[in-house]
Amino acid sequence: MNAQRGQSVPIWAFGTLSALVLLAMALNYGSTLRWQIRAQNAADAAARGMLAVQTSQWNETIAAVHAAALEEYRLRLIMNDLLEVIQGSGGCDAKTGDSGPSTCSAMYANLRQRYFDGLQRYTNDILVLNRISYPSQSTQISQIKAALALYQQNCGKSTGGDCAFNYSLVAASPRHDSYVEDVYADCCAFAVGGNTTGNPKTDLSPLDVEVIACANVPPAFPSFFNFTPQTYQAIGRAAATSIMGTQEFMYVGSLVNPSSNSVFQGAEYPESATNTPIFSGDDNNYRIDYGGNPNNADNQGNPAVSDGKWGFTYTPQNEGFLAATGWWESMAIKPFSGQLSNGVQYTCK
Amino acid sequence: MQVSLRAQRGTAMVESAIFMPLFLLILFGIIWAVQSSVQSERVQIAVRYGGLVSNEAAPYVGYSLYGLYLAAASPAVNTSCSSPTTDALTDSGAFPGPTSAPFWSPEANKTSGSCTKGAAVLSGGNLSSSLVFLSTQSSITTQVLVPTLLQPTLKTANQNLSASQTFFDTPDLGTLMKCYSDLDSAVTQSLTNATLNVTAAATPLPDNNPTTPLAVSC
Repeated sequence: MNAQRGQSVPIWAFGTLSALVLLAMALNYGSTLRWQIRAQNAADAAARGMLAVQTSQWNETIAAVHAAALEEYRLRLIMNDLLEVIQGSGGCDAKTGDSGPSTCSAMYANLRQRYFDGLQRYTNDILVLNRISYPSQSTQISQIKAALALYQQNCGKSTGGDCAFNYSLVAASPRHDSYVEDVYADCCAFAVGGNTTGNPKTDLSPLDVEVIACANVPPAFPSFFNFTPQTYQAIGRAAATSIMGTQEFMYVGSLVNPSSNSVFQGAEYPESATNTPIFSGDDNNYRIDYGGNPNNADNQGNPAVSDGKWGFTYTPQNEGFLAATGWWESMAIKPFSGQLSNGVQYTCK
Repeated sequence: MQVSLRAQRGTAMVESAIFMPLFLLILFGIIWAVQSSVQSERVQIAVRYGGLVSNEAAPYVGYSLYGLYLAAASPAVNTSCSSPTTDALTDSGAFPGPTSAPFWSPEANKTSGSCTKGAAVLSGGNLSSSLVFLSTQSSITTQVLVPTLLQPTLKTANQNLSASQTFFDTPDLGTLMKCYSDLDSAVTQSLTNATLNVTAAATPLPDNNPTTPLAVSC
């Protein structure tokens, strides 16, 4: 009879052991889920972030190009004004012996100073532009590799990534599209993949990059009996590309800047020492106006100088500064490097 | 026969009494492990959402001529960011999907998100010039209730779950202009038609293409 005691022990032991295994599996599964998403976060953050090497350089370039283009437009009109006052036309007082701000000689002196200033600013723009835009795409890729190494080195700080992972740049190559524009605007919509065909040189092609973040994760529970849980490899794999996120066509003399409540580039009066009109007629012949093409109905109503019909009253009719710019950011794309192997293209820490 | 039956009576109960607490402990452990795992996963997803979305919140302000003119008037490093949404853990707000059972949600009012954003300057190493990035550090913390039976074993009533991730992105124009003073100076002077009062024609461009990178100081 005593031999029958403990009959339920094996059942309980088996059940408890099974539950224990289930607990281990649940813990391990949870750990795997958490690490996998953490790895993907790390890879996404690195891939998108490192592309800033290119996108930032291009945005700096566009900013400097816009400034230079604006200055070029200004200089052209100053030179036109200079020609007018030299010839004694445009409304200035050309009589010898007269004095005051409305004389051609006084205007010439002011215009000459504006020309010197404009030329100096233009030169500064070009010097900065050259300093920004010299790196080639191969230099950009070297910079990305070096930046990723520092991202690893600075991990845990605001200048670094997640310390748990080893980051590898597994691919960086130009994106060869058959068109120049990333985003094309027609009358009614914006479309990705414009219709301007071309073969931009490699240095001007957007980059695709792919990054792997990898970590050897210890098991969430210890070995028991003869079972030794394996180290888990958390791998995040992410790719990104440079994309012109914003494209704009702006008549900077027509559109009102909501921050200042006046047009982005207001009218200028280089013939005046105080940059204000000298004549009651608003100095139509000398004023520099950045407005838009008056023949375009969309550009009517320049709040600075409007005749109520067209945007601008000055001649020639087609004057105006149109800024066409595009600003670069990075966006995630599907990884594109195919099968990879540990230790060759990437390493786990 | 009566004796043998009497001898067996209660044996299984005693054995069950020994094993039951251990079994229940493990069973609650499984339930807690699953709950905690799901919450951990959701915390990681929430921090991912916060970090990726933050820089895309207002692209037209950050990356446009409007942004450039704003920066010319007052260059400043972009420090505005969106905290990771706690809605990702509570199925609300920006995530108005099917509502999970309370079991899959953290304790009420125990979730908080935060973010810090600023310029991250990398220099040294093999970099040929210093680089500026926009860095968003996105963090979230929450708590999951530990089953009462497990509390003595785990020595806590609440399990803290947290995640944090730094996301780099393309610096917006305000940050660029603030960090690259040479760029800011040249662009702003042209946009504002700054008076320089130079007394002669501009210094000519150098014979060789200047390749000195722009200095960085944020």
